[in-house]
Amino acid sequence: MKPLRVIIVGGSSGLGAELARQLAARGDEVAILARRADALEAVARFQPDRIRTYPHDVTHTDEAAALFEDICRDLGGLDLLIYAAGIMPQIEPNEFDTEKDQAIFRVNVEGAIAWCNLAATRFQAVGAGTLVGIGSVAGDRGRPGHPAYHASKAALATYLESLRNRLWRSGVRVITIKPGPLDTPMTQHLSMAKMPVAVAAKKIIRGLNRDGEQYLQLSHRLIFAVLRLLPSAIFRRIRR
Amino acid sequence: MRRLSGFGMRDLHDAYVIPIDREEALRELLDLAKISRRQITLRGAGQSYGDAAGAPEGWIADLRPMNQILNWDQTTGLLTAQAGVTLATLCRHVLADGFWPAVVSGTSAITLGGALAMNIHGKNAFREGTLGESVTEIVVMGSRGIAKRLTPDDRDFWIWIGGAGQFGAILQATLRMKRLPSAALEVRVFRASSLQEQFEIFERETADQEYCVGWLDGFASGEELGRGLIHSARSSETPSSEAELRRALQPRRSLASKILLPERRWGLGRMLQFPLVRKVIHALKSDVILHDHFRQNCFDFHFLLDALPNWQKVFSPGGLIQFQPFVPWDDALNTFRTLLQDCQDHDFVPSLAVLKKHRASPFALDYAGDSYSLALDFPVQLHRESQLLSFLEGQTERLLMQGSRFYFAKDILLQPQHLGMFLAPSLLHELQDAKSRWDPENLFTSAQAERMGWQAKPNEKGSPTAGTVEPQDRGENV
Ligand SMILES: Cc1cc2nc3c(=O)[nH]c(=O)nc-3n(C[C@H](O)[C@H](O)[C@H](O)COP(=O)(O)OP(=O)(O)OC[C@H]3O[C@@H](n4cnc5c(N)ncnc54)[C@H](O)[C@@H]3O)c2cc1C
Ligand SMILES: NC(=O)c1ccc[n+]([C@@H]2O[C@H](COP(=O)([O-])OP(=O)(O)OC[C@H]3O[C@@H](n4cnc5c(N)ncnc54)[C@H](OP(=O)(O)O)[C@@H]3O)[C@@H](O)[C@H]2O)c1
Repeated sequence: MKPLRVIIVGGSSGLGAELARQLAARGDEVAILARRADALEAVARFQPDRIRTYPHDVTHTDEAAALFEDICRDLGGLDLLIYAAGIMPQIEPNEFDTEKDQAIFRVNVEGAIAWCNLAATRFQAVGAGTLVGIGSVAGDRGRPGHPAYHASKAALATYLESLRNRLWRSGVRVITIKPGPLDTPMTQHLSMAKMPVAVAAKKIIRGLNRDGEQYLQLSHRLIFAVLRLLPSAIFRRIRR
Repeated sequence: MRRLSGFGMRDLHDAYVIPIDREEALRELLDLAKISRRQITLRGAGQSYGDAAGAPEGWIADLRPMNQILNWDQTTGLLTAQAGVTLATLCRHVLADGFWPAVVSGTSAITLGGALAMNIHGKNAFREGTLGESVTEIVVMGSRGIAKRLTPDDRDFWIWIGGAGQFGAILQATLRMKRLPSAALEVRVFRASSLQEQFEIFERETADQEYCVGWLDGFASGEELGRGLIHSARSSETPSSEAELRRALQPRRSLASKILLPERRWGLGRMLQFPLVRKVIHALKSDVILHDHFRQNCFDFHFLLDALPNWQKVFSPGGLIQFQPFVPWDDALNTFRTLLQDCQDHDFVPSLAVLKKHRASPFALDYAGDSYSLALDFPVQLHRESQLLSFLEGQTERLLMQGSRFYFAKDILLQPQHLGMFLAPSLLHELQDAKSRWDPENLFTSAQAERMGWQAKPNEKGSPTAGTVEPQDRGENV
């Protein structure tokens, strides 16, 4: 198979970093973006000839277009864009902080829209390409823990569904990944069963030729199919 | 942004395509490129087999919209047209008045600019040389955005034509057309049972015919290696009837193309992917000659493959590589014998093998010299892609070492060290000097030029070097 040219937004740690490592290991050319240059460099050291680093803050959406063009030029093209950047700051049960919530939306939604729109424009024009957004099972229902985070993942999923329905005729694949808890810095403070990122990344890579929404575990697919049907009055009483 | 490739579909890539419909638009693009430190790749109809008109992520100046015929004078036979005019348009325009270009290529889908940038040859290359020899004037634009007129009296005229778009854009050209007694050719068909016989017939026919081309059966082996058909032709002295002229002028799609449907994934044409099918076709073609002499209109004779539009798609997704060495007259027979044998030994049998005879052409980048060329089409099977490429790389090295040359319009393999193997050092220096004068900022490039390391004097990409020759374009401002 020809090596893919890949952009991973949010590639300095966790799932994004692991995707970069696994894709580079199989021969793909990967560009990773995130704020922390040193963390990006650390990921690239794994395979410096195939991983390029681009420090970037996704909340600076006005910088995205030029950077996107530069990266595509450095890669010699683009086959796949993965938007993995995301934040989930800790929120206390009695905390309602607009600034914090807006910050979540800026990274998880606005940044995603900026980068996915760029890729969508390009992919539609050339009639090929794959766009992956890392959503979450958290977007399937509004649970009490992190209201803005849940809402941001729901927004991302719906936005990606729209893109998918716009682009399928152009030969462009749009994939929404809905992981459950992953073992990454984001969830360090949470004690629960978590999937290792290596496993998650492997599943995501294996599913790259399938369009649509993808859960990483069959159990999640089944559970959330049911949970999504439950009336809120019942859903809120379930212990989570 | 669009997905592009050369005719061989080997260099699929995405690029920003900017249509250029007038001189001013090109000038603006040049200015923008300078400001944003980008480079430009000129593109005509994209019919070069390889990456000559492509640039991944690059800015592609599409010159097809500059497609006006500016002047046509039947008394002198001189035609002036913009670079984007297609050869088909041009041929139709003059054929109606009983004229034809001195040289045409095997497809009419190309543009005048692309034809001159590569300096195409035809089936009469042994007699007429290249298209550039029938040109009386070109108007060109280097990276400074000034239109200049060049005539055969300017040394740069002989450098620009054949320069693969590396000095700048050819904006328009004036060509001398030849008068035809009729729109038809008298074609003679010969069967050669060996390569030796191919050459004997070629030598005989090229002595007094206008056109000559050999179609070899790449599968034939042993005593029969190199067997095939030869078509030679000359203009018919019997004037064309109205009906014949009308037929020649009418663009048409052959019945065969409707049946073969190469665009369709499972069109019959895809059967050609299988070597066995090709073997049977070749055998039939070589053994069954329906006529040994026939009259054919000039469109059908010259542009045989155009009756099957997009035929190359039959070979997707692997694509097609055309390998065309030009070998000095005296060595050609033996060299081609070895080449055909090597192809068979490695089990890479070309789907098409076309023999032509050439004579030297007075341009700086004369890719032919006094030579025979054998154009071999290799459909690429993905599972043997790397073997095929290394086989062809090996052949390229070997042939260059033995004094062969290659043609940029077909090339996908040449590396920087190869140019010096068929261009004299003084010539390389002259080309380098011309590049520095016409394009000191290195604005014009292509994937092929990058691959071959063809740039203005060593400098930082995009910035003029201190100490390069002070620009002193020859040629008259327009
Ligand atoms: C089926 C087939 C048969 C062919 N048969 C022959 C043949 O018999 N003889 C032969 O010689 N060739 C033959 N060719 C090759 C073809 O004629 C050349 O590659 C020709 O240059 C293609 O013209 P184009 O307009 O498509 O140019 P492109 O392929 O688009 O460009 C060719 C080169 O010209 C440059 N260029 C394009 N326009 C301009 C311009 N206005 N000014 C400056 N540079 C420019 C480009 O940068 C590029 O380097 C054949 C090709 C095909 C597909
Ligand atoms: N962990 C889970 O349990 C879980 C479950 C489901 C879904 N997800 C989703 O999976 C994705 C990856 O998360 P993760 O678990 O791997 O978390 P992580 O290790 O914290 O990684 C998040 C990535 O996003 C980048 N990022 C954050 N803010 C950014 C900004 N403003 N600009 C640019 N990059 C920014 C981070 O880089 P910098 O800090 O260097 O900028 C980092 O590379 C997220 O979308 C997350 O919502 C996670």
